[in-house]
Amino acid sequence: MSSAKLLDVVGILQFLQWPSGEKYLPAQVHDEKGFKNVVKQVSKAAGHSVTGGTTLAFGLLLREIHRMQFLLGDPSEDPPPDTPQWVVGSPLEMRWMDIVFAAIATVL
Amino acid sequence: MQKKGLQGLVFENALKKDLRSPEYIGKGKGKAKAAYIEPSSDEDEALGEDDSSSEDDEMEVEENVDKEEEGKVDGSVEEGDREEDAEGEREDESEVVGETGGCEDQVHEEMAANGAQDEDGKPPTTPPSTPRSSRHGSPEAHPGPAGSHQPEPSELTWLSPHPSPRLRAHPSSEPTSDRGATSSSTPDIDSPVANHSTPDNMVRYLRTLSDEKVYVEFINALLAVEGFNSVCLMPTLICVKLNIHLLVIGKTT
Repeated sequence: MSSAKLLDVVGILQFLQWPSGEKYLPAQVHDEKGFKNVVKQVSKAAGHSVTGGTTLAFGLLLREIHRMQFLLGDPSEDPPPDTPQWVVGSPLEMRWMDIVFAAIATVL
Repeated sequence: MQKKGLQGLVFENALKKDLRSPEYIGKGKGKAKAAYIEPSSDEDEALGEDDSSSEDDEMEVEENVDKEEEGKVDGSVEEGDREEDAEGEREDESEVVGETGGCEDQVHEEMAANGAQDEDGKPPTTPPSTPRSSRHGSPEAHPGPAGSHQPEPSELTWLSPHPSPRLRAHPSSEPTSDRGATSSSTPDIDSPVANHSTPDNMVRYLRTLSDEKVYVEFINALLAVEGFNSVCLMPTLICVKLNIHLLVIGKTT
């Protein structure tokens, strides 16, 4: 498999591409409406072809939801010092994964 | 004698006194006064008793002149004492100056030896009349190698140290936004940019993002489309198990 296919990120938002160096996704993802819009844009860019960029975008969205649920081992403890404020108060829940799964199903 | 006048008598008497006591010749007026032999009272009495002779008259005149001269001499002697005292003071001052000058020379020599002399060649500001012991007793008087020149308060204002480059380039002076930018520019180890060097790393990274079944199928679809051997990207133990299973299935079938 060529790396060019994996690097194909046409139409994908910049923070979901390979050059992104951020640990967490931006604040617009940590909102229900914004999250749905981002998933819609990724599925629209993917169309009906699976590319490395779309795979990376869906994977980052799923990881962000998973992180928000397991970021803190104990809810009463303080988050790590480098954690952004929108991540600490993020409303992402596990049920939002279904939105991503539905988008993946449309691409496949 | 009277024709000669008073001045002539004075002159002659002065000559006689000089000849009479050669010990005090050229030793100053003050010493001459001390060495002056006053006429004895016997002579005065004798002179007073015998007034008939011309010599006695002459001696009387001379005595009167001596008395007058003595008064003058006393006055002049007092003046001479003052002058001598003044001269002595001048000599003392010159001696003191000579000593202090010697001290200056010594101080200059010490400064030259220490290499701490002023660049302008100015003498030290310590007054020369200051006693040497007091100057050497105070630590400020010693010409130090680094701070030999004691700057005046006005000099201190314009000799203030320049801000060092280290202070100008202090990290605390940098804006916090730059620090935030630098921290944000550093890629995280879990970020995509840190895991897209090779295709193998990219596929491994995609698999670490989520282990949900739907997403795993999506990755497999991606790899199947490109004909990529996804099995080889799995850990070695899984590959070995799959190969064993394939072998078993092949044998059974």
